[in-house]
Amino acid sequence: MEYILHLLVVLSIYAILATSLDILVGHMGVLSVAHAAFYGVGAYVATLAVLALRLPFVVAAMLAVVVGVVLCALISLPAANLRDDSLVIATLCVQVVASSVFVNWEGLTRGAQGIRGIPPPVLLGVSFAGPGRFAVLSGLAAIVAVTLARRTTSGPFGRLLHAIREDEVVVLCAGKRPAIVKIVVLCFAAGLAALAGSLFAGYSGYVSPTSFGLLESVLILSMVIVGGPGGVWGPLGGVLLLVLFPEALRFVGIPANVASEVRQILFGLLLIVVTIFHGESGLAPGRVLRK
Amino acid sequence: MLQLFANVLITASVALLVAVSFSTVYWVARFFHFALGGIIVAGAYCAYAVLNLVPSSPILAVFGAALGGGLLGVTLEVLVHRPLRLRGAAGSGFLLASLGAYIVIINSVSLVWGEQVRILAVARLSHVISMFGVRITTVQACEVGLAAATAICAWIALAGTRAGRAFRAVACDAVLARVVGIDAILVHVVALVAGSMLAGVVGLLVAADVDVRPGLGFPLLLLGVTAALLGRPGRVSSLVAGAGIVSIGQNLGAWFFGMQFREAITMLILLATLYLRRRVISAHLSQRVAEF
Repeated sequence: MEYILHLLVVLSIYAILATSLDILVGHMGVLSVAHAAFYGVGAYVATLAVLALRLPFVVAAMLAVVVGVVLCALISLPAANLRDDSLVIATLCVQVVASSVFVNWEGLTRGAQGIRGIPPPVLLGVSFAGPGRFAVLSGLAAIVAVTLARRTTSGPFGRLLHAIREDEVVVLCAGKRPAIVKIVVLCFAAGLAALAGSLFAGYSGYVSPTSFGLLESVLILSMVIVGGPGGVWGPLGGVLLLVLFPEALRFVGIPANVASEVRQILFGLLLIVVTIFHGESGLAPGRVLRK
Repeated sequence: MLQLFANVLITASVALLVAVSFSTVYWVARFFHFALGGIIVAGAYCAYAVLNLVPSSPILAVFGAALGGGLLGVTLEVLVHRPLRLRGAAGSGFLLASLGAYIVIINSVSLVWGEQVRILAVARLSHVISMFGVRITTVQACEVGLAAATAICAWIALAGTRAGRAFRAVACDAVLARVVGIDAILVHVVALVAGSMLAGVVGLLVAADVDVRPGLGFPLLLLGVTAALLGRPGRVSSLVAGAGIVSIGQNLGAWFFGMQFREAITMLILLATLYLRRRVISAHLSQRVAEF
C-alpha cells in the first residue's frame, strides 16, 4: 500500500511538471529543455528556507515559487524575441548553467553530495510525513496546478497562446505583444515547476543535483511529447506511462545495476518513435488552424 | 602567458573540430544534432575497443573511431532522419529525435562499458613537448594539427570543388538545388556521415588527452555548438573566429571562477551570443510585419 501511495506522490509531482511544461510546448509552441532547472531552483530554495531560515513549509514553498518566477523573468526578458532553435538552445544554456551551479556552488548547495535532513511539511499543526499524508498534499497541489493551467490555456488568453504558436508575425500585426505574453507564460510555468520542486524536497527529505539535470528535463519533455501536447489529458497520460513503465521493469527481472541504463534507453527510443510516428499531431505548426 | 596562449589554442582546436562537425549537419540539414555528443563518445569507445585488441596501433584506433562514428551516423540517417524527412517533420521533430538518439547512445555505451573512467592505451604513447617554456602533449599537438588541416580542407572543399558547391546550394535552398539536378538527399547523407566521422575522431583525440567516460561528449558538443553559433555555419573563417572567441572566454572564465565552471561559462557565452543576435531576429520580424 505504501508503495502505491509513494507512486501517487511521484505521479502528482510529475503531473505538475508535465502540465506546466505543456503550456509552453503544447499551447505556445516553445520547446524548453530547462524545466528541471526551475524544478531544482524550487527544491533548493524551499530546502534552504526551511533549514537555514527556519521558515514553515508553506512560506518556503511560496518563496520558492517567487524566486523561480523572478529568475525566469530575468532570464527570459532578453530572450523573449528568440524563436525556434535559438530559443531551444537558450533553454539548454539555462539548464546547463543551473546544473553547474547546483553541483559547483558548494557553499550554498553542498555540491554533488546534496542536502539531507529536510523535515516533512507541517500545515496547520498536521505533519505530512510519509507517503499516505503527502499523497493528499501533492494530489491537491497537482489538481490546483492542472486547473490553473487549464484556465490559462482556455479562453481569449489561450487563443492568444495558440496564435503565437501558429504565427508570431500575425499576432504582432493584430496589435498584440507576443514577447510579453511569452515572458508571462514562461514565468508561470517556471513558478509551477518551482512549486513541484518544493514538494519534492519536502517529500524526499533530500535534494541533490542529479535530480535536476538535463536528463530530468528531457524526461519531463518526453512525458509531454509521448502523451500528446496541447491538452489536459495528454501530458497526464505521458506522466502515467513514463512513471509506471519503469516501475513495471522492476518486475521483469532486469538486474538492478543496469536498470537505470535500460530505462533511459527505453525513454530515448520512445521519444524517437513517438516523434517519428506522432510528431505531426504534437509539434508541427498549423494544428489549431486546421481544426 | 605563453602557456595560457597554448591552452587557448588547444581548446580552440577542439572547439573548431566539433564546430565543423556540428555545422556540417546544422548548415545542410538545418537541425540541432544533439546525437553528435553521443557519436563523439561512441567514437572514443570504438577506439578504446580497437586499442584493447591492438594496443600499439594509433592509426587503427583513428580508423576505428572514424568508422564507428560514420556507421552510427548512417544508422541514425536510416532509422531516424529518413523516416522523419519522409513524414515532413519540422526542425523541432528532428531535434527531439536527436535528443532521444543521444540518450540511447550514451546509455548503450554505459551498458556495454560501464560508467567508470577508462584510459586509452594510446595515451601511454603520448609524451610532453617543451618549447619556449610551453608544455603540450603530442596528442594536443595532433588536435591542433588536425584542426588546422580540417579548416584548410573544408575551406578548399567549399570554395573550389563541385561537391562544395552542391553543399552550398542545398544549404541555401534544397528545393531549388533539386531543380538544378543536385541530389539533396545524398548531400544530407554525406554531410551527416562526414560530420559523424569527424566527431568520432574528435572523441578519440580528447579521450587520448584526458580519459574515456560516457559523459565525455556533451561538454564537447556544447563547446562546438557555441563556436559554430558564434561564427556562421558554412564559413570556415568565421568558425575559426568563433572557436577562438569561445576558447579565450572559457580559459579566462576558468582562470577567474575556477575550472569547474568552464561548462557554465561556455553556456553564458552562447546565451550572450543568442541575446545579441536577438536584435537581428527582431529586425527580421519587423521587416516581415511591414511586408505583411
